[in-house]
Parts: sequence; C-alpha cells; structure tokens
Amino acid sequence: MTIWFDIRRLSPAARFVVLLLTLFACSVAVAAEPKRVMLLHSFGRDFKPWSEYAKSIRAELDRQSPWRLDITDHSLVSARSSDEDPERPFVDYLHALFAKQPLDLIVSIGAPAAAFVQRHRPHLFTNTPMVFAVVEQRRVSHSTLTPNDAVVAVSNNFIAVMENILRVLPDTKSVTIVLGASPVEQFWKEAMATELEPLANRLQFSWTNHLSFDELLKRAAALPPHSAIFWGQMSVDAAGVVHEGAAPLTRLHAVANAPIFSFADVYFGSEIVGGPLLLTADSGRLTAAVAIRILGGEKPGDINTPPVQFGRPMFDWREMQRWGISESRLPPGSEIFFRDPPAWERYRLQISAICAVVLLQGVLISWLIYEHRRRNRAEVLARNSMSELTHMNRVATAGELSASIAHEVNQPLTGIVARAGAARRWLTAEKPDLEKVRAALTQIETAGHRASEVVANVKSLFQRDTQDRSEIDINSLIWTVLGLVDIDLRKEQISLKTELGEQLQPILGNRVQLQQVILNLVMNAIDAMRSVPDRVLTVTTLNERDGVHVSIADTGIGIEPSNLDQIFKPLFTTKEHGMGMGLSICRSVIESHNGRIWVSAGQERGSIFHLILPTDGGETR
Amino acid sequence: MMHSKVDEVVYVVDDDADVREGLSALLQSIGLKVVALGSTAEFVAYRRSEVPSCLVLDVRLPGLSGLDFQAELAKAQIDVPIIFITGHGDIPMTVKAMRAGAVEFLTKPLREQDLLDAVRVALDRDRVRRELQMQTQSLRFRYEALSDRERQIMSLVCAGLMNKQVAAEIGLSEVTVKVHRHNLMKKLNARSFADLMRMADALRIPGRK
Repeated sequence: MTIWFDIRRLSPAARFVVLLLTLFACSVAVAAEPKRVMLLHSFGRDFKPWSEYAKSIRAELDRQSPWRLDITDHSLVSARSSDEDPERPFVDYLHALFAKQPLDLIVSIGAPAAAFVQRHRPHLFTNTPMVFAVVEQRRVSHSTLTPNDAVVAVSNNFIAVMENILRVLPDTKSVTIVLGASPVEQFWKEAMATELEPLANRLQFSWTNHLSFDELLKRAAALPPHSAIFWGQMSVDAAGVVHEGAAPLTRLHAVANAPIFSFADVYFGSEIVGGPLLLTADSGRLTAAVAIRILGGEKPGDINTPPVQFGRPMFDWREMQRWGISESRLPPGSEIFFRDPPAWERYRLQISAICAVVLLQGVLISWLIYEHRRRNRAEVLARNSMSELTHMNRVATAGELSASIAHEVNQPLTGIVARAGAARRWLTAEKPDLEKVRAALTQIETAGHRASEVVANVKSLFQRDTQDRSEIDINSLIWTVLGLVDIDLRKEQISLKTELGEQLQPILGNRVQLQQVILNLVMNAIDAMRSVPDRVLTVTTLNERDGVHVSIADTGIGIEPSNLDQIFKPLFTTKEHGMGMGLSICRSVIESHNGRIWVSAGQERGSIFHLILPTDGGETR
Repeated sequence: MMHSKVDEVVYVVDDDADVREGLSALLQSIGLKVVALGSTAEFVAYRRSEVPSCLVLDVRLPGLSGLDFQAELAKAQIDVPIIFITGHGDIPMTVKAMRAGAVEFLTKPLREQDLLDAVRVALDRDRVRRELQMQTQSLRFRYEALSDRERQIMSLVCAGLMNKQVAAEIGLSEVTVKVHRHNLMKKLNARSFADLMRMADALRIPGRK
C-alpha cells in the first residue's frame, strides 16, 4: 500500500499533497480492514463465570471501539484436565487459521488461556499483542510476560468473603468451600487455605476437592447448624465428571441446608446470598479499554492496570429471607436485589378486587343504613304529616260544620234558657204552678245532657290526633257522626237510611281518625246530592269474613268512571272549592288500619263508598 | 206584667222540640196563648183565628228557610209580624229579614226579656194593624152604600172643585150638589171636609184634575 520515494525531494506543496494522500490511503485501509481480535476462552464459551466475562468484554469492545472489529471466539479444551496432549491439535488448528490473516489482538479469558498463550507465543503469536483478562492476580506469572502482554487482573479477596459471611451470619462456625478436582481448582484450594489461615480460630473450613459431586451434594444436605457454603468453582469433580457452567451450583442450592456465598456477580441471581463480589462489568469495561488502547497503537507492556477489586456488596433478598438475615446486618452501601415486590405489586389484582369488594360492601351497607334511616324518618314524617293533614282536614270540616255545631249546641241551650225563664215566672206568680215548674226543670235537665253530649261529640271529633288505638263499636261511631250532620241532612232534605248490622265485631283502631273518615264520606255524600231531587243517604254495616264492611251510599251526581281511580289521589278534586285532600286522607287512615277503601257506582245513580276494617287489629290484609 | 189577653196568639215554629217547647213554656208563663208547630207547613195548614198574633220562627228550618217562608207569606198576603230566631245570625241575613218587615232578629239562646219585648211589640203592631184594617173595612162598606151620583160628587170635591164647579161639571144645580154632598158626608160619617179628604185617601179614591 505504501509508495516508497524520497519525500525530502519534493516541494513543500507536493510534500503536503503526498502527506494527505498517505493519510487518506491509511484511513482507507483502516476503514476497509477490520481489526482482528480473538477471544480465547479457558473452559469453553458457555462456562460460567468466564462466559459472562467474555460477553461483557465483547459488548464493551463493540461499544468502545472506533474501528470495525472482527472478533472470533476460541476455547481451550484442556483446562479442565491436567493432560496437555490435547493442546497440540488445537495449536496446529490456530496456526493454520491465523497464518494468512494475522491477529491484531488476543484477549485471553481466565488463567488457563493466559498460560496457554504464554506457552505457545514463540511459534504461534510471536508479535501479536495480548491482554490477559479475568485472571486472578495470583495466577499471573509476571516473569514470563513479554512487552506484548498487558494484564487486566482480578483480585479475589477471600478474607473479605469470609468476613462478609461472619458479618451477616455471626453464628457461622464452619464453611464448606466448593472446589473441583482440576489443577486450577487444586491451586485455589491451596491458595485459599493459605489466605484463610488468619480466620482458622473463628471458622472451620472443609474442602470438597476430594469428593464426587454426588457426595458433595449429600454432605451439603446434611451440614451441621451454623454452616455456610462458599462456592468457588466446580469444573471437574473427584470422580472425574466434568460439570458445565452454573448447573452444579443450581443443584447444590436445591439440596443445601446452609446458605451459599460466592465471589463473583456471575453467580448472583438465584443461588447465592451475596456480599462483596467481583463485577463482570468492571472487568469487561477495563479489559475492553485496555484492548482499544493496544489496538490504537500503545505498547501493551506499558499499560499497567491495577487488578479489579470486589465491587459494592450485593445481596439477594430472597436468600436473606430464607436464612433470616436482617437488613441491618448488611455492610454499609449494600444493594439488595430481588426484593419481593411489596404485596401490593404482587397481588395488585387480588388486592384491588378485595378492596373493591370491601368498598362496595361498605358503600352498600352505608347505603342500606342510610336508606333505612331515611325510611324511618320518612315514616315518622309521614305519620306526622298525615296527623297534620287529618287535623287540617278536621279543622276545615269544623269550619264547614261550625253552623251546625253552633246550632246543635244552641238548640238545647235555647230550650234551657226559655224554660228557666218560664219556671221563674211560674214560681213568682200569685198562685205558683209547681207542677209546671217541675216539668220545666226535668226538661231543662234533659236538654242540658243533650248539650253536653253534643259538646263531647264535637270535642272527640276535633281533638288533636293521637296514635292511640282502642276497641271501637263502628255503629256507635257512625251514630255520633250522623248526629253531627243531622242538621245538614234535614236542611238538605236528605232522608237517611241506616242498615247497621247487629253484633258487629269491635274494631281496633283510632276513634278520632275513623270518625274523620266517616264524616268525610257523609259530607261528600251530602255535597253530591245538592243538585238532585231525590236525596237518600244509606249507611250500611255488616260483618264480613275479613272485617267489618261499612258502605255509605248516596243518590247524588255520581263519579265519572274515568275519575274512579283518581279520586283517592291527593289534590284530586271535582269540587269547586275542594282541597282534594279528604279522600286521600281517608285512604291513608284506612290503610293505616290495614283496611281497604274503594268506591263503586250506586244502583241507580250516585256512588257507594266501601270500607273494610279488619276486626283483629290489622292482621288481615 | 200580667196584662196579657186571651185574644192574642203567639205561633212558635221550630223543628227542634227542645226549642219549641221551651219557648212555648216561657210565653205561656206570662199568660200568652201559644201554638207550637214543628214546621212552616203546619203553620200554613193551621186554622188561625183572627186575633192579634205573631210568629216566632227559626231561620234555619228543614225545607224552606225562614226567610223564604217570610217571602211566601207576604206573597200570600198573610200579614203576620215575624220574630226570627237563629243559631247564628249574620248581618246580611238580619238586614234582609228586617227589610222584609220582621219585628226582631234574635240569636239563640234567647234573652228572655228580648223575646218577651219583641213578642209584645209584634202583638201590638198586629193589633194596630188589625184595628186599622177594620176601620178601613167599615169605611169601605159605608162608601159602597153611596149612590153613584154621591160617589161622583165625592170624587170631584176631593179633587178640590168648588160646589159651583161641580154643578157645572155634571150639569146639576149648585143646590142639588150641596144636598148630595151633605148626604154623602152623613153616610160616611164625616164631620168635616178634612175628614172626608182623609177617608178618600184611605179608600184611595183617585182625585180628578
């Protein structure tokens, strides 16, 4: 691509053009050719936790790179065994693969991959720059690093892990550390045992490298109280069984009777309690940044990156609940994940439904109570207003009847006064006529009783209503009323026919109200007959099956058939000066006595008002 | 007080026995003759003697009211003074009754003296009326005894004509007229010309121009 000539011979302008051209050519080359990067896995592309690191690094590379990248993944197969023989064909394979298209960068993930690259660098990737990613700082052999190597290490702080366990579960006495039987895991057993020495007086550690996974599970299911499990790694167990990814952790979690802790966030999410963890994203971001710097031309050997430390403590709320770890025990700055959504979020629908039902019931109950009270109040009001109305009606009737009443009272009084005068004269005569005086006095007495009877009747008719009920002889009640209207009947030349049944059963009712009803009906009958020639008022009573039947018949003008069902309604009247209250009050009174009132046409003309009043105090309807 | 005469009758018409009999007793106690009747129909049917009398009548009666009955009586020229009694008299009713010639309008229960006074006034009025009626009656008889010529001359004299003018009018001598005039005054029992004039008035003899 580069044209070689002596640039110093060119004019400054030409130099500038050449420089531009060169830069252009370079940039075209950069744009056209992707940077070739190989991610070399230690245990397989899907082996946790490295798989997660790889994903993170790849994502970060894509995000941070100004260039187009061609990233390929390859995986060692030998890391889980101590046998190095399978490496040979893999080395040949890589050699063949990259002979023609050399790599721009190798990113090794995990210690085995780093070691592999270091081992084969002389004949495989002589000048290819390399980043050792996700390698524990203790696994980096600094002596074998070349200027082409950069390291982005992680730092497993096992003391911090154990202190975290003791902090959240202070009663913990022993910790089972899960590590497989592979060389890497063996290495870690030794490293951890050494590192955890200072805690030996507080915690008893047991190891699983010598156990098959099944044995491990059995033991984990029967750990003594105050135990905890530390999940290190399980790639190959003592029985030689190879385990993939995080599956063994899940199986362990399913049976373990002690809380499980670990060191990396890749295990965080369903099985482990939590604590300070290595964060995949930290490594990914840092590794990608170093890779970009190398791809940009920096010398790998010059890049010094401190190891990635544990990040902010993270805890799984579900595991905390399970093992009774209170929030107050967590180290400051801890973040809690998977907190059970509050009951409201989990059972929103059910809670809403229940609330709605309760609310609805509440509303319904309140409404019913309100209705009940309203009804009670209305009943009281109705009683009061009916009492008020009947009183008003009686007062109105009293007005109409006042002439009659005055007449009724004055008649006997007139007789009394006149006879008293006569008696006095007979006594003061020259020859006192004592016989006549005695007769006059007797008549005066009789007339006096008559007057007091009228007064008593009037009083009973117009006294204030009460709710009192008493046994009533309907016939005597009718006679009282007829006595009151007697003068009107005579004045209007109405002949009165009474067919009052004998031995009527007494009615339990309100005397004043029933008198009112009879009086209203009789007055109506009188009114109805004013303009007709033959005027007959017939009052009938008889025992019937459901009570005493009272009928009041007139020979008056009658009622229009179309009005028959209207006349008992309030404010309906056919009278010129009527209020339209009389019959509606009659109906209210009769209904309050559980009786019935209705009207029919008279035999020849006029109308007949009927009442049925139950005799047993209102059980009949 | 006991100036009552047997030739006077008080009719009491009331449908209420207490009232009717009480009033009767009271009126009888001062020596009046009382006829107590239960209805106006009974009163109409009753054979009344031609003596000074009056009627105590309840305004409010079955059938015809008292006031209506008063009108009926007037129409039938039954001229009996009426004392109305009522349970509660209102002013229009009272005015109507009094205008129609009622003696008194009393409210029940009656004050004894009011009733007795009213009855006395009514009976006296009836007596006077009856006397006046009798006098007019006898005058009429005497007038009817006059000859046609005498009646003719009386009419002209009462119209204010002098004897001479009368004579000229009917074609008789003045002397003859004087004789006729003397005769008729004698027949009529008139002592003076003024007397004759009053009689002509009572007889409603139309004066001539």
